[in-house]
Amino acid sequence: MEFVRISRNAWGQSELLGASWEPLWLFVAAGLAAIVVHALFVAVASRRANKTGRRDRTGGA
Amino acid sequence: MEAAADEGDAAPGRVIRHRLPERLFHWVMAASMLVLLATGFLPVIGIKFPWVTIHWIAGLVLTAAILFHVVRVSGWLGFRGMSVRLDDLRHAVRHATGRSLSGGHRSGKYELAQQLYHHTVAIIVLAAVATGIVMMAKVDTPLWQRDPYLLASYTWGIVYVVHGYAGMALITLLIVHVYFAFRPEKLWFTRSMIVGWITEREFRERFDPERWRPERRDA
Repeated sequence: MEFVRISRNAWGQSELLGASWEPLWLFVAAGLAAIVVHALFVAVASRRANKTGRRDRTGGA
Repeated sequence: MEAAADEGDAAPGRVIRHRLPERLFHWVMAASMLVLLATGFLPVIGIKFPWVTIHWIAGLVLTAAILFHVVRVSGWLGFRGMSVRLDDLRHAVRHATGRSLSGGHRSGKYELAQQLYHHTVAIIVLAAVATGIVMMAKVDTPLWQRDPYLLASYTWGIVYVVHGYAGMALITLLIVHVYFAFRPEKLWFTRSMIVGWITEREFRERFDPERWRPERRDA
């Protein structure tokens, strides 16, 4: 994967053009991954909270 | 004058969270950002149209909105609500590692995650805006003729790299922002960005009145 776009000018020198668009999907994937990670964290945390609540109501153990 | 303009902002028992100027700033920023991302990236994925003029005009709107926000924060709102505090960080670590089950800790006007998100967006948007303003030198506008020789070729390359990566990073941040805006337990934050207020109950449950002393309309 290329991270920058480079071309050759009329004198054969390499020239930095800008960001490569190849990593674009990575940024979209990172956003979607953050959603999945957060949703999982919330699910685990609420399960843990429910368990603790049940234990408190039944007097421990 | 502002108090008069906000008369309708909060019914009795409602706590004012975002005044009209802040809500306008948020939605103008949101609209201009969506236009900027669409005009910046649709051509990249193959949807071709004359995007340059729309892009730089939306960029100027975003720049004006940010300047307005900086003036509002400096002169009226202050920086306290967005200042990250050590005890918030400690609580976040305890919560994330399962040593604390969320409850108990109350934040100032903005929660730690909101503060961190704001600061991240601020840095990336400022990078995009600063490079975008420089790139305006390559665009013919009614106000000036383009001057592609303003910077050396390599420097132009750096400017384009920063602008491109800032734009791509903003896609990630936008996805995350929209996700949280629509999460059921966060909808009242979204409502407050539309109508300006939260309920007294929402305030008492989530915020430390010592750290955030909002205006309210009591019955």
